Amino acid sequence: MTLRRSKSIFATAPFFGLATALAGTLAVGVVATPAEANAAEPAKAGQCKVHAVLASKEGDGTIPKNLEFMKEWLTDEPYDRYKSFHLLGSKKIAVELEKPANATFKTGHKMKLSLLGGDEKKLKLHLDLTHRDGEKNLVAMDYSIEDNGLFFVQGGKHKSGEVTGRIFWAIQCARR
Amino acid sequence: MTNTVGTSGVSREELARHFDGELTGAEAHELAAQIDADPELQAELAQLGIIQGLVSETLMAKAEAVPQARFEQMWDEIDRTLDREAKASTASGAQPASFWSRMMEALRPVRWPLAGAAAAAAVALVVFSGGDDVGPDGANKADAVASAPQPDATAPTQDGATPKPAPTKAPKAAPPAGDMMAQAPDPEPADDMPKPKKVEAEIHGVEFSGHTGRISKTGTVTVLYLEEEAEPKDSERSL
Repeated sequence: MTLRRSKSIFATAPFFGLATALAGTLAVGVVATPAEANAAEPAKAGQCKVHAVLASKEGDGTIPKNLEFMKEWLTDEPYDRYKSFHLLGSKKIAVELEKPANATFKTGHKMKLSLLGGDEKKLKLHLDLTHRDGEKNLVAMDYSIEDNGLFFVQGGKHKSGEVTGRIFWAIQCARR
Repeated sequence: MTNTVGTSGVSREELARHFDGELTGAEAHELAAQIDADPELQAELAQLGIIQGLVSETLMAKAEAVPQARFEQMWDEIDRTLDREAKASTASGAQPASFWSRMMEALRPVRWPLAGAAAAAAVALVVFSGGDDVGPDGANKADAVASAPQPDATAPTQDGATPKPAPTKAPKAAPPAGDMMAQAPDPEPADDMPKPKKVEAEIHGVEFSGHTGRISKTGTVTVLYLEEEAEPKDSERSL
């Protein structure tokens, strides 16, 4: 009886194609950034950056260098009706589950952020913002947004030096 | 939205021009006859009159009673609508519609609430004809400024979560406005966060603690607008 040696499956061309694809996938998984890797886990802590901006209807429409990173927003509705923007200050807020963290702006407004949770894609946050007296609460809210999404809160009129306009806060958060 | 009104195919622009007294001669007579015969045209014309009355008389007379931030937001909305229409009109080469016609379009979503507010204001004017909402210095009296009723702090939000507003205490003196730039010239931006993403936020619950506000979504940009006592007092807009 002649034994016919069958061709191993490992020697077939489709196997090599599949193996290459799997290896590629694994390699991507290994070199993925920590943020991407964490994106699959429920959020337990995050880092937020809040920018207080004065938007004025006076100006030549130039976006200052320190606000270039949000030019896409400032040149689109609803902010495209303003002619100048001035960064009043930026605050970094580390948020943890159910642990409110505070930031006080030079305008007097106090902001409190806490992480309520979230899924693999979005962070759920609680936000409190006071009046410029730092005491009276203006708003309390819960919202969800994807990591590094910008959420805007627009307050009342504000004067800074010679510039009068409206103050708004752009809040960017991402899980840690 | 169709650009014609009624059964006779009269355009809104034509009706607005008639309302503004811009039509003359045979054109005016013909349209007047069509209006007489068409209740829809009569209603549209009446609405133009309501809007004109609202804007030029009643609301202006009671402008001080409207919370300033809210009033400005309303004007901003109107501004944007008018700008958009003007741009669209310029782009298409069409003759721009009359002011009242565009104003009516801009106010369309709030036309009836405004009419209600105007009626209420008119009643208030009659009942309190001797009253004066404006203090001797021209500033609004505190109790003359309407505000949203104090919401129940324990009321659950849409998803059952209860927002926790900070307790209201006696206000301390606010830091002087106008010194911000001097104290802190435009600081450097954050470079420790990645470039922000343009994504939509989802609001689960919001509580405007005794103030008013609204949420606006324009594309993927979500903005929470808050009413805040104006400071400084100078208005950006002359009412």
